[in-house]
Amino acid sequence: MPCRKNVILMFLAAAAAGPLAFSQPVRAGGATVAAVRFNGDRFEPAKLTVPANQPFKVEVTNADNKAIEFESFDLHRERVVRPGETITVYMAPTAPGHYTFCDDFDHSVTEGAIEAR
Amino acid sequence: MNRRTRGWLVGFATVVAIQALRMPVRNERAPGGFAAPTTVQSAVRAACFQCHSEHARWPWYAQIAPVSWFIHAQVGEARKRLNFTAWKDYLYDPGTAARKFGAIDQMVRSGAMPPWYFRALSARGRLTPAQRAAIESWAIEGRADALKAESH
Ligand code: HEC
Ligand SMILES: [Cu+2]
Repeated sequence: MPCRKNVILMFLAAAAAGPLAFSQPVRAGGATVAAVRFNGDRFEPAKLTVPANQPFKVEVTNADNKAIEFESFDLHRERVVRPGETITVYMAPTAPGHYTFCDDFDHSVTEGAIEAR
Repeated sequence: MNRRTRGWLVGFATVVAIQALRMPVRNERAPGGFAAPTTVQSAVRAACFQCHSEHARWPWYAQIAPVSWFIHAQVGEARKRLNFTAWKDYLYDPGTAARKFGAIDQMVRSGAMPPWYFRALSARGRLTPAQRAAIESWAIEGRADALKAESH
């Protein structure tokens, strides 16, 4: 059994880690904004969770030094993001489900996903 | 039976056998979405919808394997990249709309679309210069409007 100080530390650490691990998209001006960042070889986070049946926005930041094409064949979106740029992709109310996106310029990049629920 | 006849029979039997895997093109979603001026609308319907929409109506020869496999794969790839049945979805995000309009202009201007084999197979695939010009100016205008909307 850890001493009380350790228990408190663990509790505090969990409290701090919780929001990071289960980070929810921010709601701004009524519409949910989910942010995703391309860091050179993957999208972070790899999965975005958004509310179903409501419009939302995806902010895509390209932190790499080559252009990417943020593409979701499932959600019919296709946008070029230049190095260092952040773009806003508008999404219509979407039925609950799992929708993938990729870098259509480079298919070796692992696909990301948007989970609407 | 000489070798030539046997060759033909084997070939014929093979073509019959592969009909078990015809893979016809299916139209999955409800129609709707695409709107454009009449000249553009009719040119696009005639020359692009066979591959880039859920309104595909392929003639009999396209339903026979192995031709059907080729068509099936082409239509799958084409719809993934540009599906006029999803046109409203593209318009919802001005940045996406701008990209689709731009690609249409580019593909029609360069003569890459419709593909050569489609122009060879189908009279409807052969756009007149006037039809081409109509699609191009519609796409250029659409792109400009979308870029304007995006920057707001
Ligand atoms: C016989 C099938 C067929 C027809 C008809 C056809 N296309 Fe295509 N199209 C394809 C295929 C397959 C691709 C994807 C592969 C490629 O790019 O070559 C494609 C790709 C495209 C793209 C690229 C989309 C992107 O990723 O940016 C555009 C734009 C396009 N076609 C426009 C048109 C237009 C406009 C017409 C009509 C004037 C047309 N196509 C007619 C088969 C077709
Ligand atoms: Cu693409």
